[in-house]
Amino acid sequence: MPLNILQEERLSSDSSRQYIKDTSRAGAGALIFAFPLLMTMEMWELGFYMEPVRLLIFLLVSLPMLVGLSHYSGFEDTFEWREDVLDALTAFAVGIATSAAMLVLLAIIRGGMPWDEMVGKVAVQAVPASIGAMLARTQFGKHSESDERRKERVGYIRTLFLMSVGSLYLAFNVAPTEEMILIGYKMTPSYGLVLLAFSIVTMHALVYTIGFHGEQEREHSFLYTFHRFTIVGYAVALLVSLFVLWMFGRLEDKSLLQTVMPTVVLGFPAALGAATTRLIL
Amino acid sequence: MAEDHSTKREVPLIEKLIAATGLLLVTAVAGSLAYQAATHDGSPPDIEVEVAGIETVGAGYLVRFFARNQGHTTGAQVRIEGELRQGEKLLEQSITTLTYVPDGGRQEGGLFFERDPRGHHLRLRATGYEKP
Repeated sequence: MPLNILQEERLSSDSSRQYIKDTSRAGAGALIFAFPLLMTMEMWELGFYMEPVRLLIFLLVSLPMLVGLSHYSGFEDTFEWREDVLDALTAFAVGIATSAAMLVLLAIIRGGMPWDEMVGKVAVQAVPASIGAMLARTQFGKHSESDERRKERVGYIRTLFLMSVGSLYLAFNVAPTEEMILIGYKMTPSYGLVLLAFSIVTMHALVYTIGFHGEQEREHSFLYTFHRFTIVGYAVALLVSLFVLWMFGRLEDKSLLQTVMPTVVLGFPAALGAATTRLIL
Repeated sequence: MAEDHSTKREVPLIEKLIAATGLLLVTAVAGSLAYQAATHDGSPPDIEVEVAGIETVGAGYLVRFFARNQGHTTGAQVRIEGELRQGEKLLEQSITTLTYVPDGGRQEGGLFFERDPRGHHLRLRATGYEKP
């Protein structure tokens, strides 16, 4: 009996030490993933010119995304959704804390600033930071055997989900900059067509060389893989690109035809992100 | 033959739907770019300015306007000039610069005046641009 209690105590102190270790690792991940954006001027401005409703939608979209990330790429063997939600919230909390601390350290958030501006500035940074926090726990952590097995089990829809996370992250990194808009204005529609073709070719090369586990894709024909992973993956990248542009208010006063160009421009980094998700996750 | 069938599984309907939607989306985007490329003649910015509204503000009067670009090229650093005249006499002039006026699109801006533009002859026009 006493021995049992002792063992249990040791176990719980071990697991809390592990938890602290995991959380600091998450903090490091959040830093690495978020610092390019933390040091981008447009991101600070977004905090006050972005409509609060859009920011809220963005946060509401990113929470289930983090839950899904925890479930599919999972570190710690989480089998229950409840634990995945807990992990997502932890990653989110780490993301918020890291962003807030860095913005204060970089003198971007100062005393006397209206609180809603502070909240906006932190919230917009928190999403990439929390993706980083979530990934750090998988990436820097040891890969267990069950981890590998989980990857093997990844099905088609999960693959597309992971692609969307990868494209969201890369698109998010460049979307707030002025250059994104400028490039769209410099390019003519013909350039846009070439960029679209180039995105698809690059994506297919990446999809093919990295290889998507879980389904014996090599057994299938070129067209099958090309359609199911490259074309559909690119479609996912375009949708993510459109969402990010809308969120950053880049589609105002534009007709449907005019949204195509910026979507394809931002779709390029989004496609790269989608195709390389396998490398990261 | 039998071994071949065991490695290939039946594709579920939902995956087929997703795959079809994805193909449709990419085709639509490529199609609209092709359409734009076909109709694009590279004509220079053609910017018209129209008054959207006149409001009383603390510093005097605000004239909100839309700059519309009918050309096929985006204009950058577009200078918008507003003049208040009474007969031939120039009463007041205000100038602003729009970072971009996209081709086929519009950009909103505003000019401040001390006198009420509603009582005088107001003229708004674009005076120049830069290639982005």
